[in-house]
Amino acid sequence: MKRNVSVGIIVLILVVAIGGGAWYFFSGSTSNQSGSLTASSTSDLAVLLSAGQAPFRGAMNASVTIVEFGDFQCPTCDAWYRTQEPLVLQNLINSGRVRFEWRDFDFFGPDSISASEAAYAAGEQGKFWQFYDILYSNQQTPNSGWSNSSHLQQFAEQLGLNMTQFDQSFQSGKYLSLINSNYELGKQLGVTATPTFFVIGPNGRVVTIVGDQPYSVFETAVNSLTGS
Amino acid sequence: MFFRVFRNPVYVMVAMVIMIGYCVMLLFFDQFLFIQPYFVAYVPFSSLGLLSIDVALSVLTGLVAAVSIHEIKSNANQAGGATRAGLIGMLAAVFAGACPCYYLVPLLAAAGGFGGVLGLTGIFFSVYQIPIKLVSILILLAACYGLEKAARTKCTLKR
Repeated sequence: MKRNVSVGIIVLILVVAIGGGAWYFFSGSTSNQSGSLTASSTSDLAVLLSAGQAPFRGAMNASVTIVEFGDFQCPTCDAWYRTQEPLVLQNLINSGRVRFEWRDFDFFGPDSISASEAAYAAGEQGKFWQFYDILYSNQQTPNSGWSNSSHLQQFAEQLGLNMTQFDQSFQSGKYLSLINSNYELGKQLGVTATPTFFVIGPNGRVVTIVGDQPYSVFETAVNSLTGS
Repeated sequence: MFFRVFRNPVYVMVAMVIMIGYCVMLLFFDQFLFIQPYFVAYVPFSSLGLLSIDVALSVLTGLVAAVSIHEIKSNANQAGGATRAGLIGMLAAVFAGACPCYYLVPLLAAAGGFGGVLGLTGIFFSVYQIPIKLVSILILLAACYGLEKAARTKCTLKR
């Protein structure tokens, strides 16, 4: 009896481990990582993603748009920012082929929301992307206080922002509705992990890339959408 | 003990299946392996340490699971402690494997509400995934030692 219970527990642990992994591997990926969506759903996705305004870098009329859903406190987003984004910036954005948009998907805690609010406030003075860079460059353990209000103000000072204007905007709470709507949009689009990238082609086709994936994946996606 | 168990090809197969299955799961969770939108295997230089931990965890889990099954099947009453250590080690390895924030944290945050206990649990696992995995390796090593020791004790005459 005791022996059967022990064997049962081992089998259960292994089934949970391997079965759980397999479940993520297959079911999770079909819901939010689909690289070959149907025509109607890709159009819907592209329409949803084009709604509202999002900070972007690159050419306004680039044939491909990459939309990132991320959290400034997410270590995986930081890893992608440090290793892959420079390659995307250099080879795809600066060459005029891609426009890169940012949408916050803040779930790590209140400091994530503060970081987004501060980045948008910096954007009013034309320094959204500089603030984006400074946030990732200073990222530490989530919710350890590295992106609390006083540190965010220090980052703003480092960038030479007009602090009166920055503080007024940052503390007004006027970006909370945008942050909430981005979060809801992300959920609506099936974002369950950060970073998630939607690569939108000229004809509305969308390729979804989830996680800290290498530059080659982005290049392949862009080439497949543009037929080059 | 381990050499004796793995003379039987059935246990070699059991260990291999567990090792490979668990390793693939860890590589996927830790973003060394992607299947969507394209199949890509990618190991950044900075993550070689994490890759080594994943491989060690997979190998130890496979060994401990196969030997524990053997012990339970052949010596149910004498290998209890070591087998329990093996079970704890495997359980720890399963938790350790589910650590990365990339999947777990957003799902838990969404399930438990913003700032909820589930979300905080996910963040904890995410932030401390490497120490948790190292502790799992230590538990699995202890289980290996326990299984080996239990086998030797059985061969000693009680006076």
